[in-house]
Amino acid sequence: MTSFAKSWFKHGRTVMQAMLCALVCSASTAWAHKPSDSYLSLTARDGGLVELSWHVALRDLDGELYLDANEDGRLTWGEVRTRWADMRAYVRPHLRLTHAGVACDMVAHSDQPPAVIEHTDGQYAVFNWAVQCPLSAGQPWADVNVDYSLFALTDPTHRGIVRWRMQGAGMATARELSSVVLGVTRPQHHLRWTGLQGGAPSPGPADAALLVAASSRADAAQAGGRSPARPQAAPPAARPTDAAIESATESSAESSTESHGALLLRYVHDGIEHIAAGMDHILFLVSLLLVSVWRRADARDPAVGPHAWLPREQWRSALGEVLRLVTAFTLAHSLTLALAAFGVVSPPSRWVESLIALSVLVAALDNLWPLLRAPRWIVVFGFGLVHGFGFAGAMQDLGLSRQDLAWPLLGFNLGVELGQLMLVAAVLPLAFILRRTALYRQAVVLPGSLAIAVLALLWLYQRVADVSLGWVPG
Amino acid sequence: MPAQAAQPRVPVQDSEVVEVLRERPLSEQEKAWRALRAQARAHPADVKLATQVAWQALRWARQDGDPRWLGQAQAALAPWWSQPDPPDDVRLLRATILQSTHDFDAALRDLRALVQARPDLAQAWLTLASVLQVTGQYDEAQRACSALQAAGAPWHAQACALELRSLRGEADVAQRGLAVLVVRAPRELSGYINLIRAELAQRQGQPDQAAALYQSVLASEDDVYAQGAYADLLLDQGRAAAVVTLLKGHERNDALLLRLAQAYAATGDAELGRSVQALRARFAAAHERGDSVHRREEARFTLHLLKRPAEALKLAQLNWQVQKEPADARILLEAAQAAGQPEAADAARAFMRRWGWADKRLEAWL
Repeated sequence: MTSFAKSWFKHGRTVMQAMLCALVCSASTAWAHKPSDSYLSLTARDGGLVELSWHVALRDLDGELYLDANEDGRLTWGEVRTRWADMRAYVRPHLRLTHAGVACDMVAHSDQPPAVIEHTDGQYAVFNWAVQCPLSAGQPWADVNVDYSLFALTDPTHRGIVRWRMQGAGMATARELSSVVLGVTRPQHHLRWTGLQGGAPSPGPADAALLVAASSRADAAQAGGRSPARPQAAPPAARPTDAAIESATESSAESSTESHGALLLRYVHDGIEHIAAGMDHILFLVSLLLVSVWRRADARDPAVGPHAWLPREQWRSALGEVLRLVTAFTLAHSLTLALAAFGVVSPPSRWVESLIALSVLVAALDNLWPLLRAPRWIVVFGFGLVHGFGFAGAMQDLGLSRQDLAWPLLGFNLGVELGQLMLVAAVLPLAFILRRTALYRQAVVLPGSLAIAVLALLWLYQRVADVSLGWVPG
Repeated sequence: MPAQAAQPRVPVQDSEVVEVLRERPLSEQEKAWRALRAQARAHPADVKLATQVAWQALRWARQDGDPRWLGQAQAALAPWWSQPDPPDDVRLLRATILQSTHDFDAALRDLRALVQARPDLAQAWLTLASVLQVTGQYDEAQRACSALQAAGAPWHAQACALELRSLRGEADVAQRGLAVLVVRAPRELSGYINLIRAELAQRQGQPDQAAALYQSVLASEDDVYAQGAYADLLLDQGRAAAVVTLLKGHERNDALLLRLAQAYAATGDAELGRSVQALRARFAAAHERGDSVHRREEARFTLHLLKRPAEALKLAQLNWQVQKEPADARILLEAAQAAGQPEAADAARAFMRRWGWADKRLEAWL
């Protein structure tokens, strides 16, 4: 577990307020319904005529044209029929056919009443047009271009599924030619064919409408090619989902349902837990505690070199040292935690974390070589300021509004304090008993401080360079 | 060929309901969203408006399982959609949409870049962890879980880490940890944690415990994913009638219709023919537009309802290349067995051995 949560970032949290969470699809609750498609059937006839039947989902048209006049969630035939002209006018400009570069003309079928048709995901409007391309009678089709842009701006995942067919004068039924999927990733289809010379169809393969891709874009990569924006069906409901990271409002609502006492206890508990989970914090304290049963040699101890470690004589002097350090630390981190929690300052978390790693490194190295000139408690106070910013992020998950902060801050601080005291209670007596032994010096303080220093150095590198070494604990 | 055999028709009565757009009247929230969308369209450079429109659309995509909302979300982001380095919020949304359509590689590219730049974005870490887990990249997923802690989402971090441990040979430890976590974590995470617990209990061979957990999840939220998973459990237990009760009325959702059809098959219900027809048409319609997202479901459909094990095996193999969750391993093992080529599922066996997955339900095929 990385221990130090980030500072309280307020910016960018607006969007995250009601978080959705992972929307993990794998868990495939499939595409209820279907993404948006339209179905076009284009039948080429003699003399440059194309019969167009275009099915567009009522659901999609409602999304843009608001067909559901009474907004009851149900489209009646009356609601649809009365808006038919609007619907036609809306879709029509989004299909353009050209022949040899010259636009074809879309002519409404006057004899076709409004109609609907069912597809897998609901009812579609059926629009029919006769499209007249500039071919004289008897002139063979040469090259046709379809330009499709329906819903391109309003739903980039929309696709138009186009089927080309051909029916010469002498043919009893239309012949299927090809189908192509058009949309924003492929708005055009350019095809060339031979055949369908006006009049009698030439028998045999000649009028087998030979399609030659000559398109601007990968005709080959039709279905099956991937492109980043290629739409596919929707995700299943995600799993870790609305397990939204709580927003401030929700949690303060929650807090009102708990008594102050219970709430305070919960924050105390959170504070303790935070210490227990924070390896860098624990190691910082351990570095200090290891040598709290010693003192630096001074002028009174001529027998040893300056700054050498000497065992403290008195139990009380060791305890006093620990109390000094822990108090300095607590005051400092309470101060910065409050500043960060109330949003007064918000230092960049990466540097806070880097400084915390540095503090662990310095504390451990100071056990090995005297580095710190100032009294230890002053140094610890300085580092405490940094650690406090680190705690602020840990409190973030409590998601509190400003006016609710006082109790949690108190509770959290108390918890952190209790956690520290537990650690002191666990380490100090043993350290005091062993303080005079060579074992303690050679096998505990020396390698322990060295190990902590190495680990802290790795953390420092990770945090400064902003890289993650998978094998580094903490 | 279009996946439809219907003919155009002209309704006679104006009062006839031709389409049910939603099961309820248009809500104030939806009206507000439409107004917001209009505003965003009028100000195409306004990132804040655009992301608001997109988030709401994504929320609904989750709720209804309707992929059209994903299209709406993508449309809102159109001005930035193709940018290599869009604003953070846009990038997070884009990644979410991409992974929704199983474009995991593109989603991972966005998410990795995002957490590099903004390690404080818990949601980005969480989505990253999920995608990595689904695609079987557990080491990196674990780092993402840890980062959640530092991003101020310690409860999610723990749930995330415990679920991963459950897939890495520490199922018992994870199970105990999750049981403790659900008590301690804020209540609004209960559904999320209990869903993880339910799936784990199933892998541990404790269907009764899993059933109780699914029921508690479903009691508090109408979660499509949980419904599907619970239906699978009931099908495994031979309680097809309960599946029909659970899922009747959810036919719009293909994954749920698939389970319903399996229940009809088990009970010899006359509805079977119709639901198989509907599923066949829906898969055909998806193919027609070029989608291959639902291979896991399609493999299940092909194996259990169409009874074509060789085809199902192909689908399951293609699916396994993309995602590697227990359910993906299961359909691959089942299909390989049914097709008489058990070795075709060796990839799944090797993956499970490598990570130390245990799944009591799969022992018969291992």
